[in-house]
Amino acid sequence: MMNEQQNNVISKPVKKKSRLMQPHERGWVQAILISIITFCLIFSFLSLFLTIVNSMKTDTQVRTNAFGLPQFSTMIDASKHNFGKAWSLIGDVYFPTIAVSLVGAVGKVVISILIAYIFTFKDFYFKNFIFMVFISILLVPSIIGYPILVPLIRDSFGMFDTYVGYLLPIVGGGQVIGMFLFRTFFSQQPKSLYESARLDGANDFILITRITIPLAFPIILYHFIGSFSSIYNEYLWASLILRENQTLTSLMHSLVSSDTTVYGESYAMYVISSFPLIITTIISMKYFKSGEFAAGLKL
Amino acid sequence: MKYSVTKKDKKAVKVTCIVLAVLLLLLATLATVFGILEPKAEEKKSLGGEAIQGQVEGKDGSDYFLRTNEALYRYDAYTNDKISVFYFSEIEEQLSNDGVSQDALRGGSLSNWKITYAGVGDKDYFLAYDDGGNIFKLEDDGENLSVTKDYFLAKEKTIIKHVDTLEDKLYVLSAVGYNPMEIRELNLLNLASGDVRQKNLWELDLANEKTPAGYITLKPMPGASTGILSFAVTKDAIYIFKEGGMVFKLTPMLADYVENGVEYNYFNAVSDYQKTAEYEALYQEEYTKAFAKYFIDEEYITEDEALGKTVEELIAFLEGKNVLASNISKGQKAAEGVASEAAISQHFPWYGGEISKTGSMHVSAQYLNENNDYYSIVESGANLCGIVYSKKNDMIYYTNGLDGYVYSVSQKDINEAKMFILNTEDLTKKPTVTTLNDIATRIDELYFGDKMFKTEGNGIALNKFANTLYLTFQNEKVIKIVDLNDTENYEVVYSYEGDFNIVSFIGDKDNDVTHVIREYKKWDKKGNPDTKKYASMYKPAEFEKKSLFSTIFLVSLILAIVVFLLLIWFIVASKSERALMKMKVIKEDLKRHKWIYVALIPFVVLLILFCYYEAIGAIAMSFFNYTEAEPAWIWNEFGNYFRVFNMDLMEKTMNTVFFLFFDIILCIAPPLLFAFMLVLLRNQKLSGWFRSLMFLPGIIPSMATMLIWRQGILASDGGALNQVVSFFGGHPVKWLADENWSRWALVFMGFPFIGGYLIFYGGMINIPGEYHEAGRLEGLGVWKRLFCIDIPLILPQIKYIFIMTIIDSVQNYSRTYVLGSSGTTTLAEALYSAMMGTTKDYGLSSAYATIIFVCLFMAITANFKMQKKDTMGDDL
Repeated sequence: MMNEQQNNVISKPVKKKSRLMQPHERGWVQAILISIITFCLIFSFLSLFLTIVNSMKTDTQVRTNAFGLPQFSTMIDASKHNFGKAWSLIGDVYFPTIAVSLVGAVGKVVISILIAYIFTFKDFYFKNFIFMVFISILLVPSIIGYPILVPLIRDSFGMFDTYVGYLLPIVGGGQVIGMFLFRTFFSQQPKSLYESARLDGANDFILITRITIPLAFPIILYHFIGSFSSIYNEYLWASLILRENQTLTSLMHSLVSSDTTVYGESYAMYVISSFPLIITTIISMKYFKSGEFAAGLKL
Repeated sequence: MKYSVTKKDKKAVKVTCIVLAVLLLLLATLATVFGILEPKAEEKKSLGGEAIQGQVEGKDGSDYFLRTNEALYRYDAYTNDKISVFYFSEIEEQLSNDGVSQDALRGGSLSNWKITYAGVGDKDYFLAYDDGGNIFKLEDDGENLSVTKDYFLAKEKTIIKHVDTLEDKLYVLSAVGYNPMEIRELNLLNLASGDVRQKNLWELDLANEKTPAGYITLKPMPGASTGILSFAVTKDAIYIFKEGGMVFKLTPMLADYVENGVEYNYFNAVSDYQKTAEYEALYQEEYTKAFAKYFIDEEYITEDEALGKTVEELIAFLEGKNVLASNISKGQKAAEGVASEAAISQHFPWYGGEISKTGSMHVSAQYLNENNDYYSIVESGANLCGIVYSKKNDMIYYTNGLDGYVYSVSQKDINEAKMFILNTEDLTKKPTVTTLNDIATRIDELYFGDKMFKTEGNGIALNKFANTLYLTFQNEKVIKIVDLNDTENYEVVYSYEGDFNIVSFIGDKDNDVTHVIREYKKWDKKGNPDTKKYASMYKPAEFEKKSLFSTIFLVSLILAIVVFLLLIWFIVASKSERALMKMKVIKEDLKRHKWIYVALIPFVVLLILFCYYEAIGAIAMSFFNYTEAEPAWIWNEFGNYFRVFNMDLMEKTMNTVFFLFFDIILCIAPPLLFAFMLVLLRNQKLSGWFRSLMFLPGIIPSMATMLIWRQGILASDGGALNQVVSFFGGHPVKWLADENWSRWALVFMGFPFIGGYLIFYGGMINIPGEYHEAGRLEGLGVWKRLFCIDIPLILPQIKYIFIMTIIDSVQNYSRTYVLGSSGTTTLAEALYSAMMGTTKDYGLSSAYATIIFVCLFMAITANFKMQKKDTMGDDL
């Protein structure tokens, strides 16, 4: 809604015929702009195109001509073979991985909201210090902790090869970026709203659920979707802590790197694995296409 | 809020000081007591840091040798007193006395001796052999070793892989020119027989085809590797363990071969058969079948099309279908192997795959039984991590790396099972193969969940004096000690954290105390790995007490430090009015906001547990020798940092800066322009469509995108980029392999670099229209508008992307790793490969991480300092 209004603000003067046409509004300039944008768009689509097209080809076709369109005669059989094989390889972990990623993303976002709320709206003595403590961890490469983290999860917690053990560090350690992001947004919310709500006797829980979250909903959703796909795409940590219970991406990674010759199947695996991301993408399209959420994304 | 300091406050501070002081005293006492009482591993004997290359057992276990580069130290096994020292320089002296030049040693180096015991009749000898293939006999009078004139010099540089003795014969597995091919038999009683010093045995072998010693040469087998891994000589046969998982038992004894003057073995039978016409016919038939099958599998040809065609017809057919010549020759090669094996196996039904296990086998362990018979145990892959033989129980214990159990098997079972029998009289009879797992018993009590046993023989060690088993694990500091005395019920008696690798055990007089020979690595000041194994004898602590004591010690020490700091603060505060005031403010704040602090606790706990604990641990680890194989905190005098500085640190830093520079530019400029173009579009509906479509590529997993870049776009033959280059008349470039291009190829990856445009677009679209209106009135053109209005107003977003890009770029390890390009190693990738590569050197990778952290910290702090003024306003 806001988005359309904003667009109108910009496009309104254009409609006034009396005004002089701006240089960039000339037809040929617009044509150049559209062609550049289209070129970028096509190039960005290349990997998507290749993945879909190659998932419908036989291995030989993929090897000999990866960029060609699938042959009509072999397309159905090849797809059947590729997708059937791909599903038999990754079908078992498909839904568990989606569930795990969802739980992880929700946990990450909820914790981030709470901690960001405290840092934004509460004043206390060691606030700056504690905030710096939170933020500076971003500077340490996260993979370096794994040699210590793996024994911690395995021995101290006894959670080796469990999804809980897999998620705990992701949720517990992933709060910082979300907090950082949300704090910027929360601090831009009008203070007066909170003050008047407090006067009406609202407690923190009501403030968070009724004011903070609704006002920052786009960025929360943005972070949720980002978290979901990053957990979904994670393979290194999963390969270290999980054995029997695998996640989709780490399984795919080991399958693809162990056998580099099964092209058609691997492309089919990518296609299958992208379905959850299609849903998140549709949500993204709806909410973020305007770029409205980015207004608060500043440093 | 204003506070004033009252007398009551001052009194409260004084009382607190006294309480704290008492607490400090208590904690300090506790720490001291438990620190002193904590059982410590006591270093009993050390060769003054001299590198111990290994330990050799004496004849009957009553003495043992510690072998250094210079000498052989002999110790009494029960008292651990030094008996004698034999210096290897004595051998050198002997050689120079005999007029043997250094050249005659064929590069054999005195620092790489190996020692083995050999007894002939009543006499005891030790055989010393070097890495040039020379063998020296050392006579043992029970106390001192002395070098004899009886030695064997190799004709060419030969790696001796293994030696074994039986009665008066010495069997040597040698690898001439690094090809393990031969087992040679030498006369142990008189190594020097046959005038070895002038004309050595090797030469006699080749020139005269008549040799005073027997030898067996295993002929290469078609399609199989011929490497001999190890062998064992028993009274009835020689067992030969070969690569590819084959075990051969050769009977009759080697001596027979020599007497008859002919080599006859199974391989000769096969090669004889291969010369017959029957084989030739079979081979042709199989070859056609295999050739067709290859191309059917590759989907170049259908089964119907291949039916009834000869090889020539098939090739013509394939060429007609434009199949590359290289593919055809690949098919021919594959078919040759298959056909040969198939043709042989029709005659020898058990040939080939039948006796091979899946995966590659290797000799995983070797042990001596009570008769001093030498055994090698061959198993596939990770099945067997380590093996020991308990004399008291007459049982063999081994660790199975696949299922994580310890197994036991009796000597008798192994002898009866006869691991591999080949009937030399009737070669068409299928041999019997028994694997160790078929006859062993799983010990259910000895299962440690997800812990993986250490491989390379370190996973298991036997303390033969106490009859206890020491189990070590990968990635773990923990060592489990199992009591073997009750064979009905094996029990883990101790489990403790050790900081060393166990080399072996040495019993004390009383036999109930054992010294552990431990080994550890060091790095020299230049950062080169010191490959020596240092060892010292340790008396292990009373392990069960140790962990409790050290925990109490640590906790009370940390608490004491905290209390001490608090006490100092309070004492200082009581002297100054201002400090008292501040303290009061803090106290009031803590009271007022106590719920906030309580609410913060879980988050801080999570942060400490999953971030700080790891980060601080990693930084600490960077000062220690800590690898996956040796997970011990061994101080190495900044060795990791020396190594980092010696491993092209400059080049890696430059690469990191290179990628950082381009990442910053490419993460900001192209998306910014793209966003601006979208803003400029007159048809905003179209712009909306474009923005919607731009989300779609995100559904492909990032892994797939990487793969497509590597195999589709940047590939050297047939890649999209090279097709463009050839189109314009250029020569195809190996984008990822060529050092001149690889970094640019990696920068180019991600073209057209518009990924993060949405944030800029959002920023631009939110700029109020009045600014543009005003700019228009001032007559600003499009470019001026971009630089004077849009960019300054979305500076906060640009800063956000800027900081995030710096952090991401410096920490990005996957770029060069996934693409597998050369010459583009960054710090982060060096970190990754040190950590995940073959050595899994966590100390080294932590050193890289610490360097990355320090650089990032300085860069980001500087950045924040510079912009502190304008952001502090809306901060917090």
